[in-house]
Amino acid sequence: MHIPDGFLNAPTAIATGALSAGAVGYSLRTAQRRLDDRQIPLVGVTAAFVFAAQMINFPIGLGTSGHLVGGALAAILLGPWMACLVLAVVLLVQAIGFADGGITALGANVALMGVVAGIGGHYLFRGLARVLPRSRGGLLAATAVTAWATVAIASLVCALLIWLGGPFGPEVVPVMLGLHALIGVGEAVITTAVVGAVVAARPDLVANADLLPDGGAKVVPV
Amino acid sequence: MTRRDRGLLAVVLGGLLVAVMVGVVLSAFAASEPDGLESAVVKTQCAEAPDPEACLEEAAGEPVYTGAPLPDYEITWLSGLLGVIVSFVLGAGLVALLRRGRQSTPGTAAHSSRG
Repeated sequence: MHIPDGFLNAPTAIATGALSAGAVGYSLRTAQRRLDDRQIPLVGVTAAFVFAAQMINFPIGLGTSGHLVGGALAAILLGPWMACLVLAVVLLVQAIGFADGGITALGANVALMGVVAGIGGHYLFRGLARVLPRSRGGLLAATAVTAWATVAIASLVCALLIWLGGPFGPEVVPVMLGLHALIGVGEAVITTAVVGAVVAARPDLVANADLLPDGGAKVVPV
Repeated sequence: MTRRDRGLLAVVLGGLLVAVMVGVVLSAFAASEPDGLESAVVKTQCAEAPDPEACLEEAAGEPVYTGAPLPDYEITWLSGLLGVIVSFVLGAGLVALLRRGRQSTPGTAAHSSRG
């Protein structure tokens, strides 16, 4: 879902850039004020894993592939603002180091994957987890649904951006959403596997593990 | 270093090892089909084009920034290794600097034993 330079007009690039700059700025301030010191290396590890996982395109058929976004994963493990920061770091490294995603579209890409999938994913996850059974199974079900939904919603917003703020016709919107409804299944599988493994090994380091029956979390979502 | 810190260190090293394995080894097996966004453009805007791939490239436009050392992850394993390391250092380094900055502001514990 990495938007290249040519997919957005200047006003759209600037508006999404401003939104992302605000979100990243607030995330940095929140890290400074509220981050538990134990979470410092975990922010780095999550960024490293999301970068690596985004390299792994899996085929979904229809001549199309997809890869993990990681917004939901980072949000569930760390919290909304650190998820935004993690995705911003990964997208910056990808754009500067590997020409993946246009430099003028960096703001839009951070808005989609950091703000919509990351920050949005956190609040969707908390909402879902509250209505599902308060158990490890309930937590993982909320994880899977959140992961799928973040990809679907981010792809819808992306499609609206490149239609209303770029050179494409409206027919791109349903195709984007349809393909990402499939890619989202991969996002759900990977995210649930990773969250399940971390919750099993070290629930005390999972920010959202306060939703478990034994309230395993020793750190809070930041 | 306390026992809990050693536990955290194990988690961090374990996580980094997984990330390196994924970025360096598993990346060799990544699918090469266009991703969801590219494919959506190929199937709509570029559906009628004689060469859909060229049509997609034209839509993507000339990159504004051309200084990437490893464009399109050429030398895949090296891209994976460097990307993982830089993402870790940048992510952890940024928040570590912010936390240190906070410790030295007036009104907070300025002189912790860890300096």
